[in-house]
Amino acid sequence: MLHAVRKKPMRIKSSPGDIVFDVIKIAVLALFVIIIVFPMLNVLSLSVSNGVYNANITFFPRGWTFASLKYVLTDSAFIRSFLNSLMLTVVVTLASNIFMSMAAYPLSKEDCPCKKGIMMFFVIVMLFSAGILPGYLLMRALKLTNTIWSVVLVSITNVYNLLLFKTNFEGLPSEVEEAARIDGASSIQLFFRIVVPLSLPIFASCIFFTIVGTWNSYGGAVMYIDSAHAKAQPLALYLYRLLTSTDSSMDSWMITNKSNVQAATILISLIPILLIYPYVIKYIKSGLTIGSVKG
Amino acid sequence: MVNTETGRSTQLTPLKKKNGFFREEARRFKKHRSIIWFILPAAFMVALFGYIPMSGILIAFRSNFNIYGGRTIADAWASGTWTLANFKLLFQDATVLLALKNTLIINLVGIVIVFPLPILFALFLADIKTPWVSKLILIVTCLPNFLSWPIVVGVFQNFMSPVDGALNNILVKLGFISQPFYFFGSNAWFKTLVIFLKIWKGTGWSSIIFYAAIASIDKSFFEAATLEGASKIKRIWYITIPTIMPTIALMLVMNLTYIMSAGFEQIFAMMTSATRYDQHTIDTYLYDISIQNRKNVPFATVLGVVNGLIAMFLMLGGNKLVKKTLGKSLW
Repeated sequence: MLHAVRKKPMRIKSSPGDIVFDVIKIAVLALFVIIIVFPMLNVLSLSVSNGVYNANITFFPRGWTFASLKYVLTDSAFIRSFLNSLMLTVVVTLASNIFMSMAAYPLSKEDCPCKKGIMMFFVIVMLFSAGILPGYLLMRALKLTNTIWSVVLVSITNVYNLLLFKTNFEGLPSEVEEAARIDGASSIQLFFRIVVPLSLPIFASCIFFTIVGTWNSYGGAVMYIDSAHAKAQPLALYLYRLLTSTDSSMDSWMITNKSNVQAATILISLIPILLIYPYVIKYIKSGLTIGSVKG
Repeated sequence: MVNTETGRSTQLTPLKKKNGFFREEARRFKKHRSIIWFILPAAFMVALFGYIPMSGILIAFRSNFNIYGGRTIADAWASGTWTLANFKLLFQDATVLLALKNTLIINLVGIVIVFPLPILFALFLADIKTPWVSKLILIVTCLPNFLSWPIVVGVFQNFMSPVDGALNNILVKLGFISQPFYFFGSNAWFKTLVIFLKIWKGTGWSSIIFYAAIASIDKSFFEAATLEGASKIKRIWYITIPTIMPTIALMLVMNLTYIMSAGFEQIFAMMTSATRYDQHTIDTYLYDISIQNRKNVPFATVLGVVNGLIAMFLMLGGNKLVKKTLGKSLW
């Protein structure tokens, strides 16, 4: 901090233009932070407020109560979709990153047989899809519609990550691999004991984005899981259906507390994202240090 | 490549020209036979969920396709007759034109408004000289990017709700409006909200790439310019902007690549019963006729295939452009 203060460009004289710039800068940044934070504060306060005060709640809770949070945490539909999402995210993250990184490894070799053809085989799928309907028909033929497995299976292929892994593996020193070969390591051992540990940053990044993407996405689920099979839906789809529902079969508590329960649902479903958010913070910080080293 | 230290050939030795193509491939296969099978799991997934659906393109050329009764893609051979009429329908269907118009409006306005904001944001942020303040601002403003669209839409539907919504309460109390207004039920407000939510969710995160580009500029340029008496705006205009121009160009091309999609998950989550029919975009209309109201299955396939083809050509074109101008490849 001190260092940064010292490094401040010598104040020769702030021109009027600079002062105007600073004022606009601070105004824009402050406004943007306020626009980001206020709706979130609103959700936070709604989730711990009593519904009868909703008309007066803006950014501070009123009629402090945990009833909405308790309601959500004991709601079997919510818990089921939360667990579905957890399963979905874990399976997709493991399978996708293992499959994609494994496929990327031979392709990272300069003399991989049929390299061009195999690369094209993967890239075409990234560039072109035949639309929703043929995919749906296939899923139905496999008898996987209205199960969470449809979403699991379509989410595993991630050619973009495959390309990231490939680029990364191309930069690995071949000496280490050769040494392991001479020591008699099998190819699987070589990959998981030598190549993966040497590529941890790219694995961390791909795993992180797979987790976020899978947890948050509902586009696949809304295609394969209809509302009659709510038991199979992941959390993001549950949220979509909850937040857009015009359900009239509610008791009086629910009618008063609808916004509060929705807010509580939003809050609880954010927990996994908040748990991995420190990775983003680390990413931001490392971005800043890279800049300052160069500067 | 020959390892100069050990003198051992580590990778591909210069091709022996007398070897035929197949012998060379066989030699490579033999050399890598212990790892080449690593491709199989991913290739299996791609073949099953990427290539098999492509055979469904056939349905686009059939006069009709009865989707009920557990029919599969293979049944396309036996239902109806061969025809190109479904493609003609593309230009006659009123909703396709509406959806195309909506998609293009959202994306073009997006490129004018949503795209420059992260750059402006990064420029302002880079001018904050206290590191913990800029870090804190980034940490807060990046958070929305990691919320799912149902959550973002849910947050604002609550915030802007006509029943007890905080925004309506404030606006009514301050006297801006006399009655609570249902923003999400209004066709007039729909696209404005779409753009606003794109800004709310993405600006912080998108600014990071520009911020990093600015942070990597050699500080001595700025110091020299300051000593010469250049104002901040001049420094930004003559040093920062030209330096980060390649990043801006790359991001712009990537944005243009996705011009045919307004983001299914966002638009679909934002549609209410009041706005459902006027606010279709290509993505949501495709979903509507493919899954929700399957009246004409061959036509739904046509729209999917044509949309996929356009998206592919946009990506190929964008990649070519980036390769030519910046020497980079998107893949």
